[in-house]
Amino acid sequence: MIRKLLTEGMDTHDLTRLDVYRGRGGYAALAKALGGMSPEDVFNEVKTSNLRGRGGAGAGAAFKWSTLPNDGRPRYLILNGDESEPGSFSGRMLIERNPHRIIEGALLAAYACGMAKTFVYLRGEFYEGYAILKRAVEMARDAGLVGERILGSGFSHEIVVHRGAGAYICGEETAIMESLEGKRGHPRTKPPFPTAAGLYGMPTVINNVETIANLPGIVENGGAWFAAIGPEKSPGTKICSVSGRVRRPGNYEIEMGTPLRELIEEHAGGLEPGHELQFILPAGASSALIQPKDLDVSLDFDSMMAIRSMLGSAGMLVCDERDCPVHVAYLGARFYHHESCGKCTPCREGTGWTEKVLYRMEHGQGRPGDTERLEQLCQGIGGRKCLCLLGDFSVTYLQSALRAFRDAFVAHEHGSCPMARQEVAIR
Amino acid sequence: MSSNPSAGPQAPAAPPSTVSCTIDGKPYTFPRGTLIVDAVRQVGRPIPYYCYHPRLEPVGACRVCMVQVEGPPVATRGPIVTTGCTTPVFEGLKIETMSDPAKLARQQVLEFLLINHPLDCPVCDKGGECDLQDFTLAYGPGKSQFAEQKILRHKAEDLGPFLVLDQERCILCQRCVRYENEVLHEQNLVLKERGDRTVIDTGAGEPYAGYFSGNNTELCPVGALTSHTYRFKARPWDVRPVPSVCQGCSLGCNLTVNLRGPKIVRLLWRENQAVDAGWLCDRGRYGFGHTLAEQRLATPLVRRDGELRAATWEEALSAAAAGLTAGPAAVLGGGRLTDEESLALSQLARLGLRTNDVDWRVGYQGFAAPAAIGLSEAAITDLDRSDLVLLLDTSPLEEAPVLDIRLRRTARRATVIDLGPVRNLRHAASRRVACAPDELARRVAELAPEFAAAQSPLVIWNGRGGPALAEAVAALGAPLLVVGEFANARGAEAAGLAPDLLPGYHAVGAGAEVAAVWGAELPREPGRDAAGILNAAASGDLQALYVVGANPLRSFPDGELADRALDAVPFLVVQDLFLTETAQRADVVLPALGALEKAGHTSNLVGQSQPVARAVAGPAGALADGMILRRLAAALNVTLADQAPPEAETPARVRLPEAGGERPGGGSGEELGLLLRPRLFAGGGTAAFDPNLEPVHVAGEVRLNPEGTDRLGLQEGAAVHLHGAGTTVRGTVRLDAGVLPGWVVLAAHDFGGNRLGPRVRVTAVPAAAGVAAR
Ligand SMILES: Cc1cc2nc3c(=O)[nH]c(=O)nc-3n(C[C@H](O)[C@H](O)[C@H](O)COP(=O)(O)O)c2cc1C
Ligand code: SF4
Ligand code: SF4
Ligand code: SF4
Ligand code: FES
Repeated sequence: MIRKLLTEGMDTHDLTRLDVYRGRGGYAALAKALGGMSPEDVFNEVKTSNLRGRGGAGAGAAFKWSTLPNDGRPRYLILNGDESEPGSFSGRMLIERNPHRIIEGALLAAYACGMAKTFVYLRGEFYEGYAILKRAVEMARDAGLVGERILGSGFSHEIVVHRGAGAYICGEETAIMESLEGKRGHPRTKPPFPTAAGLYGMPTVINNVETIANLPGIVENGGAWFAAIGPEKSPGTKICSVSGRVRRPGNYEIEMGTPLRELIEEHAGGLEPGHELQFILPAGASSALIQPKDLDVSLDFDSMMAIRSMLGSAGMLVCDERDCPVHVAYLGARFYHHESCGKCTPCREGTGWTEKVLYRMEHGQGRPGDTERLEQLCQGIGGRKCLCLLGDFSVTYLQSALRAFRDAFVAHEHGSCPMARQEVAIR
Repeated sequence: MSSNPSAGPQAPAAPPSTVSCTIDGKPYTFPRGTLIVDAVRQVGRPIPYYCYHPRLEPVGACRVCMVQVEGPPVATRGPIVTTGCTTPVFEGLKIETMSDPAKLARQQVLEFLLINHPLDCPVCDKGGECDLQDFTLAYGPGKSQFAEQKILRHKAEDLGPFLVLDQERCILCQRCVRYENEVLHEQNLVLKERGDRTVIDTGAGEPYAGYFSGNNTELCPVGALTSHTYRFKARPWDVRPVPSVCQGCSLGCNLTVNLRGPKIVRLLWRENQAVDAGWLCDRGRYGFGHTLAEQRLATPLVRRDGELRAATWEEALSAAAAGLTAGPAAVLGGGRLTDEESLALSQLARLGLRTNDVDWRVGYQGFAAPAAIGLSEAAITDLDRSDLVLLLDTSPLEEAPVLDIRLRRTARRATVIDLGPVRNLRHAASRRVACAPDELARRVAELAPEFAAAQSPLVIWNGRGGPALAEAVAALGAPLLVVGEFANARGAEAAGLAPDLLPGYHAVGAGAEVAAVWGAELPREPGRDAAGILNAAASGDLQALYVVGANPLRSFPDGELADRALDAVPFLVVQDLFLTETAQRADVVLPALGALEKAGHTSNLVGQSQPVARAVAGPAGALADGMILRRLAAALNVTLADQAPPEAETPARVRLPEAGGERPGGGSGEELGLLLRPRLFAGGGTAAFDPNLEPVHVAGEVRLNPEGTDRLGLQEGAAVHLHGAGTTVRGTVRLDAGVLPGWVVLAAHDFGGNRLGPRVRVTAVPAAAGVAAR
């Protein structure tokens, strides 16, 4: 079911304008929080809401905040707007068309956690989003919503907008911190976790921009209101980005728990006439593919886990019978080879090797044993052997493709493609 | 970032300080926070690692140190494999180093590491001591499944004066990059590109510029970073290791000489936490080329008909003995001898030449031991604790480089006051106090309250500046580290190679205990210091001068006086490795062996007497200084004592010479004040004659503050003339904002600088002349 909490008004109004955003009730939650709620009150509402992180893993927002040590050191908030997952473009939409919602959310989180500074880390390619968000921060500052003594309260907060340099790995929470500190975007080993020692060694909370955009609604209407939307353990809405072989690709904000079938067949207009769904990569290139038999799965964190896939960023890549799984696997391998940061051995070397094998298979130069080789490679890279999750991401989708379409891979060992692919959905 | 993940702020209050766990079934107890890799190593079980290094922070990059762990805090998941270098031991943890999952994980990592590796072991310098070879043999797969095209990269890339990089061999363990960052706080080596395109390179693609490049070749677990000097020279099983001590400066870093047959092929670090913390500088590491330098003196020379001609040792020694006893004689030098040789020289001067006209201080340094000015001794490791350090017109980087590495660590934590006319701490100095040399004493006195309040203050000083400054330093009451101008200045002073000191810091005139050991009466009147000796020679009061391992024409601050003295003295004996400017003036030249060519002891800047080995033979016709002294003493009818005289109960103070050469003032109008300050690769000794150091040798370097240089038309690299009192020298401009405006800095011991006098004018060399000179 479509349910517009974060995207409400976006199609009809220019919410990037402060007056428009405020005219539609924007910054009321902030005024409410600063006007009479204590930071604990705000924290408790978020806790009651059961809000889970939209950045991928679905970690409880309030739980993450609660692990901040109480030791008097400065704390930082990082908003993750790196959004480099193939097929994910929901964050971009929010940044470009509802920036004040993100700013308001950041202010609420910062108020609840006692932070003096937020760093918004944007994907390097978001030139427009960067300009829009920066302008929005300036507008908010001019209106006394950012900076010293916000809305006349005792709460002060600064927001810094930073654009990355074009690296998927810089969406990883510790690589973001290295990058913000001016170093190479290499993930750090954990522990220590960011809440213990994050940006510049200080306690840091990192949340996805969409996670944060939920906060104004929660504070305004109460955590209980939010908790009642959708499944109990995965409440709220999720903006799903649907692309590939559908008739109406785009972003759809649905209530959590909406069946995947409804999203694809109703909202995204179903597949092109005469074509048949073959598989969906539900969280871009980092999740196990979903086959048509699972199309009735409900879109929430736990149901998706139950079918060995995940909701993740909900960047849905829809493929039909024209899309050879080996070809799609090759594209994924090329992506991971390109994006591996190179810090740890299995991912650095393994992603390159994987791409080379798939390149051959895709180009009619497959060799007997290639399928098995791929399986071994996945085994060598995956299973938490790498320093960060990118290594595991790089094999999750591939392993699922090998499980579901092993015959197609084996056929490629001998130079033939059973799909007789004519055109490709994803390049 | 903390290397100790369990030390987070959420750690429960006062947890037990040890934890018990099992490794391969056996129970052990370790301090809390011990990394699994350290624990496994400590109990003697094998574990492979590349990125881990005991002297670097862990990064968990290579993933080869995989072990299986089971138990809290991972109990719920059952056994998992994890990296031993990033996981600390926990109470109750079961660690298996040889379980099948651990073995498989390591095997896969090794297979990955080899897919793009060139496998050029037959021509790789590291072959035989390569961790990639060794761990592949021990833990790797027998066969590679990789059947694709390898990535090709740069090979034999010249990274600078000492380093060569083979990008294909690099396994990206980042030890080098982390060493540069964590240890040096420099970024001479960095990572470029991403994924499997990542390569090591110098920062801006320029030659490696730091002083500590060579440590990278030992940190590198494979043959990626190698050195020009060792390239294709030996196999590790062919080399013979000889432990010794570096005598490149007064720090005395421990090292191991590696010989192939009769030749030194390389020097390696030999970790001594209390001295070098495991590092060497490039001067120490690569400065062994002089052992085979062509210009080495290989036969004694005696002046006949105005020419220095080859002579036998008998001829040379009898000529020297005759000349030195024909009238009043004096001795200069000794700062580069072993402790034993310094004692021999001291005795020879007192008993053979019957004089106290002896001084090792042929440069700027006034004393060597804190006790000589009544102060207490600091330990090198005190730097790891001190909260306040005064760097008194002294550059550890140029004068005792490896000490600077330790100081950089101190500077991250403590207040370091960098006082003087030249900025000396280029890394995170907490406070720079710029002042002219004649203001130093006053500025030091101003620090008294701060020193009184400090918990464990420390002064680092090279002993230049004269009695007033020494008094000001003494008033601070802090322990003192005296960085030596010559490698064994400390041993020379302790041996009494000073006009008012006898061995063991007995005062001249109160040397009964020395006389007892030497078995003879000693001359009782204090002698003249180096300036006094040179003045006496210049005015005809001396018949002979014996210069041992010294080149006062370059090193003495008043070069003009040294020049006149050597001209005037009727008889000059010079004992050295090379025909230096001073040796060229001699009547007798005695060829000596170098630091790596003779055995004995050498005292470092804190007075630690460390044994040195005779690693190589040296030129056949040269003799160890000790042997020359022994034979010369015999010719003078002196029997050298085997035993050192006992140390004085209360060490005698040494009379400090007035600061020579550098007079107050600084710039006025077009004139600039001249400062002579040490530079690591300057000087006329081994630095000038060592082919290994040729690419970094510093000569004619003119350091100026950029301020006002435009007006004089002086840009970086410009050829200039320095006009001083009566002479002009030529040099090349290096702009350096760390130099106090109004002053110009030349390298101490660089030829000509000490002839200019205290004030100079700097003029650009006309362009045509500049081109012609190139
Ligand atoms: C390779 C990699 C890329 C990631 N990219 C993103 C990203 O682009 N945006 C994002 O919000 N989270 C990304 N994440 C997840 C973050 O590490 C982090 O979990 C998340 O930002 C936390 O926010 P949340 O709790 O609000 O979900 C990525 C993780 C990995 C391992
Ligand atoms: S898994 Fe890949 S992206 Fe992550 S640290 Fe290792 S090399 Fe970098
Ligand atoms: S050059 Fe050597 S030390 Fe540096 S990353 Fe490569 S293998 Fe490691
Ligand atoms: S610091 Fe001094 S003793 Fe140490 S290696 Fe360098 S020159 Fe030798
Ligand atoms: S040694 Fe542990 S990951 Fe490299």
